[in-house]
Amino acid sequence: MTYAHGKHAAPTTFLSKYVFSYDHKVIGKQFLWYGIFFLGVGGMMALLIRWTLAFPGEAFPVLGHLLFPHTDGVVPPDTYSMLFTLHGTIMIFFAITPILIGAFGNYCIPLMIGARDMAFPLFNMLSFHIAVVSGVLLMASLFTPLGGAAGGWTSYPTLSTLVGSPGSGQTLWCLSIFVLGISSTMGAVNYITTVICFRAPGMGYFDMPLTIWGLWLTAILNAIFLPVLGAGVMLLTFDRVFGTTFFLAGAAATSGSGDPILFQHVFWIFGHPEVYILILPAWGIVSDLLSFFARKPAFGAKATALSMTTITILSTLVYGHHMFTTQMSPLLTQTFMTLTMTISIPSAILFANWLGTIYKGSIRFDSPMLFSLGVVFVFGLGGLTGLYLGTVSTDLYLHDTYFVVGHFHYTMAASVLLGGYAATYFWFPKMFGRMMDETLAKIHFWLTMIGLNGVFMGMMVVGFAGMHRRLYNPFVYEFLEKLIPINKFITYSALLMGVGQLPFVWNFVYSLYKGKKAPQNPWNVGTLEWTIPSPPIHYNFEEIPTVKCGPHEFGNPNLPEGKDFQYQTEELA
Amino acid sequence: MEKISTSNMKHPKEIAFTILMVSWVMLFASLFLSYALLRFKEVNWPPMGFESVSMLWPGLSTIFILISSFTLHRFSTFFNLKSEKEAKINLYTTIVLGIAFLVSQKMLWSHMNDVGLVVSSGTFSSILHGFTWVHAAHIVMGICALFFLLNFNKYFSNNDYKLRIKHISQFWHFLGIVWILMFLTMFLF
Repeated sequence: MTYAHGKHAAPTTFLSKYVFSYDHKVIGKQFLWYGIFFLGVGGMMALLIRWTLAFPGEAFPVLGHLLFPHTDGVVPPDTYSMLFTLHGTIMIFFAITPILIGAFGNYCIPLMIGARDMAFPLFNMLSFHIAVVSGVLLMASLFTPLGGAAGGWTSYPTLSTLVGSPGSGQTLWCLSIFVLGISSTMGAVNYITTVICFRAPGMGYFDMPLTIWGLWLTAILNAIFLPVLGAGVMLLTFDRVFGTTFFLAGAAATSGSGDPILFQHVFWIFGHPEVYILILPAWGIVSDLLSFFARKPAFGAKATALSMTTITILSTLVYGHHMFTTQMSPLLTQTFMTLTMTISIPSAILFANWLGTIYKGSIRFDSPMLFSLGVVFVFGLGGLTGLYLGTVSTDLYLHDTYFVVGHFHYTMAASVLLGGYAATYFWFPKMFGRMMDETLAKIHFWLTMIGLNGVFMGMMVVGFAGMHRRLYNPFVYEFLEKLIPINKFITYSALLMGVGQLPFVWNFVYSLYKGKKAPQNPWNVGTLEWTIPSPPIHYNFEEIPTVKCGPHEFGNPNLPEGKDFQYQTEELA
Repeated sequence: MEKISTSNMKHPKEIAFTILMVSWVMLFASLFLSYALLRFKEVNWPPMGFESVSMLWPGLSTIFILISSFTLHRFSTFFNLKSEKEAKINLYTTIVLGIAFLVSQKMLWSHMNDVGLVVSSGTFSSILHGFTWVHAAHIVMGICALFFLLNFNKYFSNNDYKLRIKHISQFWHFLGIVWILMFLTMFLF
């Protein structure tokens, strides 16, 4: 049987080239800009949150009087709830997802597997446009009379029902997430199909770069579990709009009792895999980059791929550890705890393989490598602190404290953010045909690294001391007053991290126009995208390449003098 | 147009459709999970003060959707045999039965309102209304997809078109199975 690769004409007009493009490379860049925009919005919200916690009752400098004129520049309590709700929502669904999955998934998958485009280019384009609709719905919620959603990014009922969140902000939040789910499912269908059907001749699954493994597994999780969230937010919308009582109980349910905990089940059946949906692309990227910049084959590459697969499977079985405090039966808590602990085994293999890859390598500390090493460090911390939350006895104390916030920021925010930056610095030359400035990149790395560790380590400390999350002013409680200084330290660290992003913004924008012209293969790497010009031509490859070896072939003694890597299209004696 | 050999491989559209079906299965599985949790925590079902719904409209819906699955299967068979007339009759019958299903659903909703099972009258009616809405919305999508098959007589030898018929049929049969499960668990038992 033969079939035709989805083919589209070379764009000629502005609209067909930049707005309604079928080209996976353009769609990848569209997702990148979309994600960076929301990263900025979510980051500003984080600074407002941190300011409120460090200087309760004080006006936010400069912007405060503009944003909150009725309270003399002080963030009001109800706005504070909206800020932490939308900060979480935006960072997870509108920043990390579009950058790691939307941008690098779209850009890298066809190039790294030797395909001309995604399997369904029209589907791909629609996926981005639907994501834009979702973003508009979310931002529109901020301008409704009672403001945006304020029930936390998890939107637990009854906080998220009409009882806890009157007005249309929360309803728009539900619609926005539902629409984004459609967009992501369309993307996932494309990614999975493209990887299965369009790998270049000779490329077996274990010849794929680990970046592709990560993106592929993420897409599988997305396709399976996003509909579960879709069902949850749909029923929540029914409760809010049509008056059903799926999640209403007690006095709130005037005509028969639903169950608020039901939403938690549905949410976390999706929510725990979501953690891995976010982290798997970063793991894949880091697994490749560590090898590329250590100039060594990836240690145990097959084991790394299989570990990621095992983690993907196990991630579907552990959601209950988010609900230990919902009066779950002890039999269930112990089951979920045991299953959660088993994730440590493939995670440890993955982590050990990373260390094995850099051990005795000829490490080049270019910016993508620095950020990758940053991921190794912060993911190690995030993973280890997760053990305390996966264990029932310690979770009962730590649940809903800032320890949880610090932990998930280390895994979902720090690891993924650093992974995203590693990917950006690494593929920028291929995407835009220009190099980014290395000195600015290294300044960006160190400021970010110091800042984020100050923030997230500090969060775990105050959490361990008993400070609960989502409180507008925790210091009204006497026992938390002594935590004001460390909260100030966290906020200063956040400001440092925020300032640390300025070199990146400057570097990114300046390099787009004035950066040094990028050669075809600036990092001396053998994967397929580096065998073609930077930026790639329309349709990527003059001829579909034939793959002869894996993606991490370094130091082969048969290589010619002065070259330490082998292209995937090369065959050595 | 570049052709890629896929001797041992399914068509990309087949793979994509399989993934989409997994997504739909998960959507409806989540709804059934929610229903199961809500139902099993109640001592009585229907809860005290509520009567079971009359079987007339759900029963008719079941008959319509069962026959529509059969006629759609017949359409597919006659299409493969290139029998235009028989294929056309079966396709049109399927569409009419799909619309009849929607009408019977509308009658079911009116009946429920008449007997006091309005949307906001508790979990029992929430489930009946909410799940039938979601299912009916998918039936609307299915009918729209069936309309895309109306000019089938131009494509008797087109393999891509055969695939389209196969996928739309699978989607329709899937909705039929979901309805049967809903009928058995929500209306019959």
